[in-house]
Amino acid sequence: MNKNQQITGNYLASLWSFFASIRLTVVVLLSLAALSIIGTLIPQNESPAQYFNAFGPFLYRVMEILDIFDMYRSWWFQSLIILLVVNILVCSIDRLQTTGKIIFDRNPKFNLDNYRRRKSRQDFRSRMDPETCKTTFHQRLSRQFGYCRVESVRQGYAITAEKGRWTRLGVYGVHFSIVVLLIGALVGSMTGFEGYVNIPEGEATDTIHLRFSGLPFKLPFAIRCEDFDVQFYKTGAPREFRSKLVLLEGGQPVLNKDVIVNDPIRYKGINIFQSSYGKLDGDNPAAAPPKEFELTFKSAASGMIYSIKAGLNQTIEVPEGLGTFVVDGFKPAAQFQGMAIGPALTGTLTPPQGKPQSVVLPLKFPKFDAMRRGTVIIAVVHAENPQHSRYYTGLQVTRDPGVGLVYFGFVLMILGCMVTFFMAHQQVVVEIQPHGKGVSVMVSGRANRNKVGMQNDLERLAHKLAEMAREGKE
Amino acid sequence: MHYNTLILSVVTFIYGLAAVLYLFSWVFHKEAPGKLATWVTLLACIGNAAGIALRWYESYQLGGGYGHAPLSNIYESLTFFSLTIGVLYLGIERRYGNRVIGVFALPLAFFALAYASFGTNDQIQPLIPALKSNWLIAHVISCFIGYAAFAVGSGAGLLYLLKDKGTFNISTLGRRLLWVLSILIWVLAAGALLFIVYALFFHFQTKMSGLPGLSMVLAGLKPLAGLYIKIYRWVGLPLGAAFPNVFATFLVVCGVICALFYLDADSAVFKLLPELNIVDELTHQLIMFGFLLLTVGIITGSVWANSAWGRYWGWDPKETWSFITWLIYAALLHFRMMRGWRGKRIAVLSIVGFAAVLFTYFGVNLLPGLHSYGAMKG
Ligand code: HEM
Repeated sequence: MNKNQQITGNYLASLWSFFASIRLTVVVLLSLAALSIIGTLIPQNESPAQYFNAFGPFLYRVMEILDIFDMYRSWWFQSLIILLVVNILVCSIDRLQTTGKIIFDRNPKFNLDNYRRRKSRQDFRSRMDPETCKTTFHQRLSRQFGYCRVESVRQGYAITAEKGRWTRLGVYGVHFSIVVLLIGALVGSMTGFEGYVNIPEGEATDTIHLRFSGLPFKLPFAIRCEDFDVQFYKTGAPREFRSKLVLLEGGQPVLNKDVIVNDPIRYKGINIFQSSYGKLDGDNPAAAPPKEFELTFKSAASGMIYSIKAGLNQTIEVPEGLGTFVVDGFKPAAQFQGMAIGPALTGTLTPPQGKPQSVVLPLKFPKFDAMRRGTVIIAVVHAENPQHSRYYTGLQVTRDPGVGLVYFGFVLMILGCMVTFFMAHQQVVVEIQPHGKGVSVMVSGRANRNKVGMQNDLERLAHKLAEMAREGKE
Repeated sequence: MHYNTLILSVVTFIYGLAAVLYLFSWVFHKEAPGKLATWVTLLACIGNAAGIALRWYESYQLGGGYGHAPLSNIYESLTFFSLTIGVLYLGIERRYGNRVIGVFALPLAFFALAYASFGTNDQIQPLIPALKSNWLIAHVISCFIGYAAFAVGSGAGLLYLLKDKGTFNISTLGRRLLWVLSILIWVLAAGALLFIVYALFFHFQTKMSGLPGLSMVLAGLKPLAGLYIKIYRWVGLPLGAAFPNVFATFLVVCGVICALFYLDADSAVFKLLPELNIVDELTHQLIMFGFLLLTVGIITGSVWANSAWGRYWGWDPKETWSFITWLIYAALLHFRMMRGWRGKRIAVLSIVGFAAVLFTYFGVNLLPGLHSYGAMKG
């Protein structure tokens, strides 16, 4: 019976020390790092058909079983994370007791011999008498250190002081922040959702589609897009897109706000983000040719680019005397050597000498004409469509009650790291012994981390004390 | 015509000069070039900062909503990266009073800027809507200061390996082979470096034609650079604009290492290296500093993603790789607490960690089906 207990005890103890070991930590951290690579090599959450085509039936089955296509949510990846959490918790509990003893110790012990033996000790002498010296130094040290005390040692005194005990808690802050973060993520994934919806201008909806599953999801309110507007830079890249949204509850407007990228609506725990936009007719171009268009002509000889506005069947003088150009047609879905190139203008270029050439100018590929290798490269920069095209706004709609916890974890992690990395628990001993008519002083100390910093602090302290002793004497 | 790119091109040469001076001072035990190198580095940092500030100003001069803090594309982040390396290194030099680390740190600043100058698009581009966020600025700044700390940390790690006697237990034959190898590598590296210098001057000329003397320098360099190009074509190596940079960095590092391995462990060159425990401490300090900034960088990036797309983490490859880097450094910090794991192994890990940083920054774009830096997600 007794023996049995002992064995169980041993067994538990070794299990405990397994979960408390740093060896396990590095193994888990490096395994997480190594396994995370997989998901960056194999794009995640694509459609099964794409994977099937890419890997063939056998590999597809194997990878499917191992959840490789959604690995960051797979049981094995999540188990590793849980193992990390257990490791952190057990390790913290294991050490907290020792740390607690150090932090709450009323009478910390200073082993003077240890301090005397340190290589980093600083020594100086002074003519001051031991008593004054003791009081001056004690005053000085208690200003800088939270704990400070004087004891008699041999014929003199030792002042012991320390500060920054609490900084030993910093590392617990870092570790705990990881647990907080993961709980936040768990709360988010269990009670939140993430979806998207496209709403045409002037229309309203209360149903979005969930990410990954694509299932419809009903919101507690409807979103109406009053207006959508997009501005462009000179380069043609979008500069800003903005949707005028109204939230409706039971048909009644409850909130009216413009959303732009990086400035979402937050209402009743649900966030609405501007994420994309598009034209309602999408890639199907209007059958009618554009009324007016702007062309650029780039001279191959000089490299100069000229921009000219024109209409259909209007003859254009090409600059630098390179001939004339007429746009004589529009193809809504043009083909070039069997390739679909979308809507395009067709035209005829007549050089000053030589035969007229026919030229195709796809609206979507402004560099297309460079392939012709002519004396002038023509591109369409802007084609006015007769109808005003209608836009839809693409919104991302999310709810994540865990975000607060996650952000708390973020703050805790940063603060914890700062405390751990740049602060330390410092202990200092100043020993004053009578020496001839004055005293000889030793300044020594140690810190639980950042030894170089401690060394500098000690030198500074010794310097300061020596100065005080000199001034006090005069 | 933008003067910022011109200034930053000039600064590239100044960093290069400083690197050469540091190397010279170390190998030939001369104090004077080392002192000069410090001043040259300071000059380079000032020029670098001025270039960045000017770019900021010029982006607003362009009008049309182009104005933004210059931290939004590869070119801009690399110029910031080299500035951080320079400043960080000067800080360390002051604190530790040793110039040898400059031999490893300054080439990184040089190559980062050289790569930026002619491996990437240096035009001022307007910001797409998703990039207009103060969180993004905080994200880029802290990530790159962190990366710079890791870069210098890996340099310190390398130093450690060089200084550590155990590393040099090789036979005479091995030593001779290394000697031959290092000569070979240096010949190749010299070619690549020459090509970089040529390309930079060329870049210079297109930026500011008619600079007196420049065409002469170019004419002088051209046959040599042409020879280099011929050899590389012949061997069948790729010759994209960015390639010689990456390649030369690699070669120079290999070359220095091989050359040093050839030396005896108690050769005078190693005497100048700081003490092992100081290098170890320095590596640790740099990695802690870098880890904090990488953490802040990932967190601010995450807050940015949450304000732009409504999710703070999406396992996007770039995110995942920064997470991998973070894990490697976290593991490294814990390795130090295990018995027998200080020193050499940490030095090796600091180099592995920096390789992960490089991959996060440059390699992710090579992965299948991804968006490039700052592309619109979601
Ligand atoms: C992702 C997970 C983790 C992170 C980011 C992390 C972070 C840190 C950091 C930043 C430090 C300070 C390092 C230094 O002083 O140089 C530290 C120290 C430490 N960590 Fe972790 N840690 C993690 C997981 C763990 C786990 C699972 C354990 C459990 C064994 C653990 C045990 C320790 C210990 C014992 C220390 C030393 C504390 C001291 O200096 O007194 N860590 N950790």
